[in-house]
Amino acid sequence: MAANKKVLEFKKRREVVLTGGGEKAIQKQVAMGKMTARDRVLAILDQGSFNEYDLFVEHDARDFDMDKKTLHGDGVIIGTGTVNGRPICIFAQDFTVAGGSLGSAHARKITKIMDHSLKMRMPLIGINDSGGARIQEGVNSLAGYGEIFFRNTLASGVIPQISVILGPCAGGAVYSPALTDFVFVVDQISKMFITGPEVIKTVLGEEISMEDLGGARVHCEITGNAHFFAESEIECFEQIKKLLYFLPWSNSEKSNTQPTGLPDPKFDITEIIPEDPREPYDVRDVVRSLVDNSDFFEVQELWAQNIVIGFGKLAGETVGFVCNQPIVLAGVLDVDSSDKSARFIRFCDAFNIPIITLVDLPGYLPGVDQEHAGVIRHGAKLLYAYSEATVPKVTVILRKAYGGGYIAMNSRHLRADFVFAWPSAEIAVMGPEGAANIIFKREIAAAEDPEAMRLQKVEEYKEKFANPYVAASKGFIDSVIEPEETRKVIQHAIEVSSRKDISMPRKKHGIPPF
Amino acid sequence: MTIDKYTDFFIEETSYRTTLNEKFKNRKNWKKIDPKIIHSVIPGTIVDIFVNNGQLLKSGDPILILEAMKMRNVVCMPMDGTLKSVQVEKGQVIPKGFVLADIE
Repeated sequence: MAANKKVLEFKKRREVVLTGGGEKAIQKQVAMGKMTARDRVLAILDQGSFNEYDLFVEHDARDFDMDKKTLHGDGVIIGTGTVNGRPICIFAQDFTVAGGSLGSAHARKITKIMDHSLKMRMPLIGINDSGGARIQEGVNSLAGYGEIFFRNTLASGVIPQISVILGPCAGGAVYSPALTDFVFVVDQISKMFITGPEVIKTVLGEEISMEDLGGARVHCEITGNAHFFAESEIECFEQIKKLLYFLPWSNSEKSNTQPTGLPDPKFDITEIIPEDPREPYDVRDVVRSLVDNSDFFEVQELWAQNIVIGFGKLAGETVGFVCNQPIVLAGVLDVDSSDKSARFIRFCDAFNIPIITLVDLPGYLPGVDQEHAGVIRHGAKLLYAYSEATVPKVTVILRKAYGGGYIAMNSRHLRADFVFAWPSAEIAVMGPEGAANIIFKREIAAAEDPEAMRLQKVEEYKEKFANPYVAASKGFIDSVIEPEETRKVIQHAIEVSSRKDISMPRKKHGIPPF
Repeated sequence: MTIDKYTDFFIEETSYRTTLNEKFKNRKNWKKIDPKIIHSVIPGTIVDIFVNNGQLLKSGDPILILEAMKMRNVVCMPMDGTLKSVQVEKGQVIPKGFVLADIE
């Protein structure tokens, strides 16, 4: 039958294209410890859910003998599928085909699936594994990158965008991931940089390996460009699925409310925090004592660790946490921690995720390096992000909330909806020692025993101001609560805020201190 | 006995027990720049030297050429004075912030 013959021919054609760059190139990919693009897509998506498009797309480049070359799928796979049963758009660059280089057909495939994800309001996952621009296509490949960046920006804040770096991602190509919401990297596999080691060596004489310049660890620990670090691709894919579990599908939806369990009683909120405000504890344990199943999914775990950000569920609804972390730099705010938390707050705000802020900080990090690195303008990002956010905002002051840090950490004054404080909270312009030394400078200097006088004045100050009641008397905090009430109180606050509707002054957009 | 993993960290005269991150540990102490020491502002190669130690020079007199990123940068005297010493040689590849010369 004629139809059968055509089906057979189709199957033959498809089989050829599905081989990507061919057996040899695939072997090379595997030898580098990498999965193939197709295997990656299949590993992320629910079994049997992948539908591929543009399989037969071919480039139309003519120069440099390109007209004699066939590049299967033009080096990228695009399609739709489901993750945890919910629809998603995905593309994966195929390094086995011309090094995953980006030409105009390749870029058109990517922008096609990007347009779908924005139009259909579903998240986009982009797997980057590419040698960069396809030089033979010249300015066409530059145009391709530009079209992608533009769409990343257009979709920003509308649908969640996830970038996965599973190979090289260099030069201009890095800016697509940088424009997306979450970047996943894998140890020894991911490499991201603007100019590579060779250029750096010839131009500047500095020798550095790709790994040390832009490996997974560098971007998770030093630059903050990446959000999730994994030891293997499979671990990375699990992290992606976990993240998607917490996210709403677009800015017009709320997160999926799923039935979940109570926190694990082994995280006892009354036991975690030492009474002495100078003693450390891991604030993540406090979060675990609050969230469903004690399941806290931390974002940017390895960078700017003096602040902790991440997602959890509260009675099934996703909430975002922003918490000072006393075990690192006493939980101070600085350039990096302001950057990190401000961006997270804006993500939560864009995607209708209530923000819970746990406060325990002595203030800002002092130092010439901080001042010269622009802690003023970076710190301002945090104030901006909190002030601008219109999702339900709940603050719990656990212990210290001094000075500018108190204001910045979602205080009443930045329009927190609910501010609670534990009896151990100290809301003051600065710590007792510093304050007493300034206020009672004369008394201390004039005393027979200045040190004894100083200690006495510090105690007096502590007694009077190192508590939540001064702020409570002014209505800056709504209630003083017992630690064990915290989950219940936050949950109630989120529940009663569920119809929150406030309007901001009409504007094209604000001008955050980027 | 367990070793205390926390260190004392001072903020506004109060000591907190905490850990320090790598960035904080690796921060460089700020030093006032001595105008009498000439540093390289970019890494590169010394391709020419025009002056000798002990020479009396005027502000703006060329001292040497530092080639970096295919650009020949003329490094000049920032003030009138006697050149104490040139601390690099012709052909030497130097990093950023390297001492090129000092003035008496």
